[in-house]
Amino acid sequence: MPCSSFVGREPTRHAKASIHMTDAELIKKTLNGQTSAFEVIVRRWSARLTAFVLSRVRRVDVAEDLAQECLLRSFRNLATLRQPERYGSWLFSIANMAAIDWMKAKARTEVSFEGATDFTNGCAAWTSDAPTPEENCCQLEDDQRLMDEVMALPDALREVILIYYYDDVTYKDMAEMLGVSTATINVRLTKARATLREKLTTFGRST
Amino acid sequence: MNCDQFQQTISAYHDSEVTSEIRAEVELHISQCQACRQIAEELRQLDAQLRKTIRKNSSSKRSVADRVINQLSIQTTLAKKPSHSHFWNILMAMAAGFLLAVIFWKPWEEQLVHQPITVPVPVAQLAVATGPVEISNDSQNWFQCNPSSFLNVGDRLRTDNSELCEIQTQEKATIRMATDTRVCIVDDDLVQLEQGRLWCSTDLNKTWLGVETPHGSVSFLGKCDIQQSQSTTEILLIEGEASVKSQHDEKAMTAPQCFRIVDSRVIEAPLLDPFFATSWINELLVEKGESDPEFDKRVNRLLASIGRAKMTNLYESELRALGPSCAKPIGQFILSCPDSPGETRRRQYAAKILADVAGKRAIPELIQLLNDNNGEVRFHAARCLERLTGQNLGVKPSAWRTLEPNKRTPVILKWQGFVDSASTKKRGEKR
Repeated sequence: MPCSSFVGREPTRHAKASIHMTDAELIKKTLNGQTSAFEVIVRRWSARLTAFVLSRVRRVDVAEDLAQECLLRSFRNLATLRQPERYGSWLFSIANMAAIDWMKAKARTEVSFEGATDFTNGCAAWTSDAPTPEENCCQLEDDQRLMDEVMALPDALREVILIYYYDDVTYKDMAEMLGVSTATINVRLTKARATLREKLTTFGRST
Repeated sequence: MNCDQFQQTISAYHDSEVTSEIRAEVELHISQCQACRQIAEELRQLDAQLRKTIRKNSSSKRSVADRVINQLSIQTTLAKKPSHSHFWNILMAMAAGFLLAVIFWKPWEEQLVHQPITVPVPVAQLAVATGPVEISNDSQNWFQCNPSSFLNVGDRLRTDNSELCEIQTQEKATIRMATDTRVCIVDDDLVQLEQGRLWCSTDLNKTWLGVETPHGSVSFLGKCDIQQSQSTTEILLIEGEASVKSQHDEKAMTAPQCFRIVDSRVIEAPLLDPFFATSWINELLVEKGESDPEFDKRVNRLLASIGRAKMTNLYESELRALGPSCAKPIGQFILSCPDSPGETRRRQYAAKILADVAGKRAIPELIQLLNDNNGEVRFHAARCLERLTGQNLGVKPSAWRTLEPNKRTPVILKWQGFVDSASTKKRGEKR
């Protein structure tokens, strides 16, 4: 029984608002002076860009700052983009370089192919906000445990998990962003979830 | 739908990414299989937890967009303000400028990026790698490059003595790097092969791909294998057309043809079977996954030749080298190929190879083959099942050669029951 017919879901809330406008159309409007058109692009890409950078740098605060800088720089250099329909790839390339520059600057090693062991633990690294008094301490620990395991996933799996849950992206969109097939997205998400399930179950048994 | 298929599909089903037919099959299986029902429930819980935890900072997630838009509107406001010498406007402009400088510079925080971010236009992407691949943009500092990383003009990639990788360009060309290979991305249609070996293919509707080496260059449309040694560059044109240049020569190629650049000259070289000459890419195709169409094509090409060609052993060795990954296409070939006199020998060869290389994932196909019309095929299927499970369920593999149809059916049903109960037990142990 093949699992190759992905039908896709409804577009995200952001995309619905400008469903008739492609990135290329919005960029053209922006270059003609309508900055508000670029706002649509920002809302369309900010979440998934943040998730992508987060999968590289593994710190929320850093990922948000880098994502912000990359979006602004893309705006300033929009006129240099030869193929506006490839804005997403271009933006991700800027972000990739920014992440590498940041990691070079912090003298961090690149993520190993087999999986990372170097990531920051602790609530402060993951949550940008301090825990509220209402939040249960055990719930925080569970959340942190889950995020530790997400950050420990191999790069390709961590990337899809973060992008998917950050922005509720369809398989088709994610496949285009990452340059792979929807079947590959399915395989990676399946594997990532299976790994997380197994790790969390093992942890639950040992505690 | 069996449990293996369910596990491959459950993620996409949960994310509403399947057709209505597959959705119905999944729901039917869930209603019938307690173990898989449990898996579905665990996935639902994990999904809820991930959704809640990762989106906990949804306000900060939106704040990235809001912060960017806010700064865009400040810039736009500044740009629109008419410049005249009114004192109040000058003051506002100065204040806004100061605010902008503070927002961008953030002197109280460490600088996140010490160097200006360059704004490249990506021309390629690392698609697949069998292990760590390194990237550099200055030939001095090398970093590990992960699959799906974007590649820019000027980037260099290198593989070590055991890894292969595949690059996809924006012009839809594929460049596969062998072990100990180093390339420089000059543009989306031009690479420099600094050392090692490449297998390249272009989209026939797109532009030609150029590969430069220290000895010369080749520009082609089609498929090409290029190997560089210290003194020569060898170009095997597998498909399409090419133009090869050296310091003193320029020659056209039509597939299949092999040229060599040596001593600044382009000479014709002996042509080996392109299929075998490029068998080094098999490991990459295996890495891409069993359902890769190119992998299946290579397996089918090999299957077409076993039992017929004079060098059957060569094709058989090639198939065996692919390992358990080729079991599925071989199994499907045997199942779909009728047992006619012209095909009997090929099917038996295929069954023999399948029995030697298949892993546990091939068990469903092997059980189907127990009911094949050909006794040798049944024998090989049975011996493989015995190898994989340690069981023969009371019927030795050799007996399957002559087992009559009415006696096969109950044993086949026993095998199906055996496999189903083993899967259920395995899932229970995992929990």
